Amino acid sequence: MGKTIVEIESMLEELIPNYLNNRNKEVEEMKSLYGKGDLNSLGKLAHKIAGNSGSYGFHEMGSYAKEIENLCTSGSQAGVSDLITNIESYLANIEIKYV
Amino acid sequence: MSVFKDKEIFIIDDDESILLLLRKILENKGVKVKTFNDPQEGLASLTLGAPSLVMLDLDFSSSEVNGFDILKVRMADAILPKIPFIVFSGHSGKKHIKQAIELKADDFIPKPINATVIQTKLKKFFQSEELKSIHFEEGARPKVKAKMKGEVSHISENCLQITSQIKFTNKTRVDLDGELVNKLEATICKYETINDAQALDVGYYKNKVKILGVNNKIATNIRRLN
Repeated sequence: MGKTIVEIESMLEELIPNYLNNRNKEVEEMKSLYGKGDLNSLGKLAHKIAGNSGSYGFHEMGSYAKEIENLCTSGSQAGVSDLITNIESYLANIEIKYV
Repeated sequence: MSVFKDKEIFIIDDDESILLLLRKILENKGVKVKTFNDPQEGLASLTLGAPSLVMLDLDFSSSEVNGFDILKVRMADAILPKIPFIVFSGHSGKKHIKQAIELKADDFIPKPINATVIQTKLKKFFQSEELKSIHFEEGARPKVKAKMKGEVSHISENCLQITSQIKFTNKTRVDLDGELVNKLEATICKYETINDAQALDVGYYKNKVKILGVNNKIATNIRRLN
């Protein structure tokens, strides 16, 4: 699978490693919440990721997180697991280009 | 001069990633930033300091209060409404924005946050704020007394020239003291500026000052200096 190139403002370079590290931890947290069926907490976490990922420039991850948030709000679990996997794959396959 | 100079912004959001991001964006523009990930702590900080602006997230996932609750507290307070609040949220529906505006938020920024949008909004905001500086009407202007060091560069029997960081306007009463005034025995004299000050280097002005009440003794003392 090819790398997804993400362009990020160079001003943010020192923040990015820690930022991505935290999102990887949150993927594990999302999996755990999904496993417990805690859609309320999962929706809140997805809302947070949707807000910050787009703000940093990781728009694709933000879109997946927003979809998770919407599904959790509507009480639907269908598709949530795939979306969490999408975020996990995205994080594993991005290459940052500082501009 | 940058509109961000000397500005201080408090940011209240329970998402550390957003706090770090906004701090980076704003400090890069020269803004002083304080961040609070606990809304109650952020609110308490406002009673101790008066920032130029507060940026407040409306959606706290880790707290029982949300940004709307903070806006309500602000509305009920005597002082806090004077501090501008810009709110931001991942919920950017009309209902959400309307509620924030009804609670007197000064502006709304949707998440995801865009650095350029933030900078542009704040720049416009501070530019408009500068026009809202407090104006005191003639006759109702508070009096202040300023004491500042200056250097006398020229003197004659009826006037002297002072270089200082105060930009006096024409006919301003000035009190002078110092070794020279004592030596001339000119403590009994009155001093008043002639014309508006002229700018020298950045922050320094040349002020011409009339000496009133010069007697023969003082005039002699002045001539002996030359």
